[in-house]
Amino acid sequence: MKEQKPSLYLVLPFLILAAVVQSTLAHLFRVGNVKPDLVLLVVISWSLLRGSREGVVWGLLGGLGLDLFSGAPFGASAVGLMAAGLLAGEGETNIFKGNILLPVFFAPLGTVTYYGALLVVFALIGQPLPMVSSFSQVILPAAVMNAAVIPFVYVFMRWLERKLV
Amino acid sequence: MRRRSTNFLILLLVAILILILHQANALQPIENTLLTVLSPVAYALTYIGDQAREVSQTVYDLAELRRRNEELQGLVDKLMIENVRLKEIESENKTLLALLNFVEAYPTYDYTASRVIGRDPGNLLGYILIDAGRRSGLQPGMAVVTERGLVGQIIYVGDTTSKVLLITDPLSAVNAVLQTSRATGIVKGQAGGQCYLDEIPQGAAIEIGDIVLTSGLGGNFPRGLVIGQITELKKQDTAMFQQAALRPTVDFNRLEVVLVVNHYEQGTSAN
Repeated sequence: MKEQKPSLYLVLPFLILAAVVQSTLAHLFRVGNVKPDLVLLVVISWSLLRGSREGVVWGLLGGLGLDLFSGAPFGASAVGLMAAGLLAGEGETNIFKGNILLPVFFAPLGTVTYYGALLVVFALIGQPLPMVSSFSQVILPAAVMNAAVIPFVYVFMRWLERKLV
Repeated sequence: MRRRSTNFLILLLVAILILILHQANALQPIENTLLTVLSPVAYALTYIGDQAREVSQTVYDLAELRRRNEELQGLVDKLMIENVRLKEIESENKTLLALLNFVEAYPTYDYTASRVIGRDPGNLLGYILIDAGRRSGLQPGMAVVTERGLVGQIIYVGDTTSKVLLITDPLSAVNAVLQTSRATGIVKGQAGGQCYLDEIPQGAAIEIGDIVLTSGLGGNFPRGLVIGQITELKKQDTAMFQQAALRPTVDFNRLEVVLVVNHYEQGTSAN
């Protein structure tokens, strides 16, 4: 039996909406230097629920949505989110699939992967960002923040998956 | 007919007799006893009557109160919305007044006021999105300010929106000068939304609390715009330059309206 996938006509507006929310409202939830990465958490959650194949597609679309609002080179966030989606897809085949702790485990990994990929992209285009301070001031705090927020996003995405698929 | 008249006559006589006995206080013990026995009953009946009246009044009042409550709730909602709207207008008025003061302090600059409509979605970079672009005459490189000081510069211009690189972005660098010692340096952004003053000559006198201004070198920014205040010195005798931590005067988390400097005359800026 062919596996059902949600239509791109639904996925694309949903991810663009998430990117708009990320760009306009996420800073209201800022703690210290960091705010939650909503689109990243959506992609990680979807990958955990549906596997890396769909996670990479969601990463691409969500990343392009973020790049509309970001000062990063167009496509940079897409690369980062695809990498995070690919990584989180490993959790779909994991024996702990469905366990709420799984996203809490994958959120920091996905965060480091996403921002790590962004740092690589910036280095490749000749605008290297400071590695040490980026990790200590931004990436690690963001990983903690995202680990704390992902259970809420994951539960919502699980509900959405049941509605869409 | 005759018998009925007799009965009436007898009862009338009894009544007159009772009246006479009452006037002579002969009936008082009986009256007292009867009143004592009947008073609790009278009290109870009066109480029930009062309660019944109150209940019926309450039922009436309840309907009236419900109607009045709905009316007042509607009024409260309306006033609350009005209050929020007025507070927003007051807040916007304060912001615009402050911007107006800034504009009056720098009369030779041409500005475009613009609203902040978005921020860089990630944590790594420091950008904002504003609602003015090419159609408003904006171009890459233009300085963006608020009444509190320098915000950054435009790096991308769309038809109706522009992206502004904040001075706190790790890729930002602004030529600066210390207000008191006139020592020069470069304000650079840091990951995490901080910035610092770099490349200050070793011999330059620098103190905590010094005000850092744009130097105007390089031509991107007007001279004399406030950037921030020195909060910490990082002096190393072996290094070529001094460094200092800097607290920007602009609160980048609360940006709502900014001014894009379309044109300025370098020699006449406030300093």
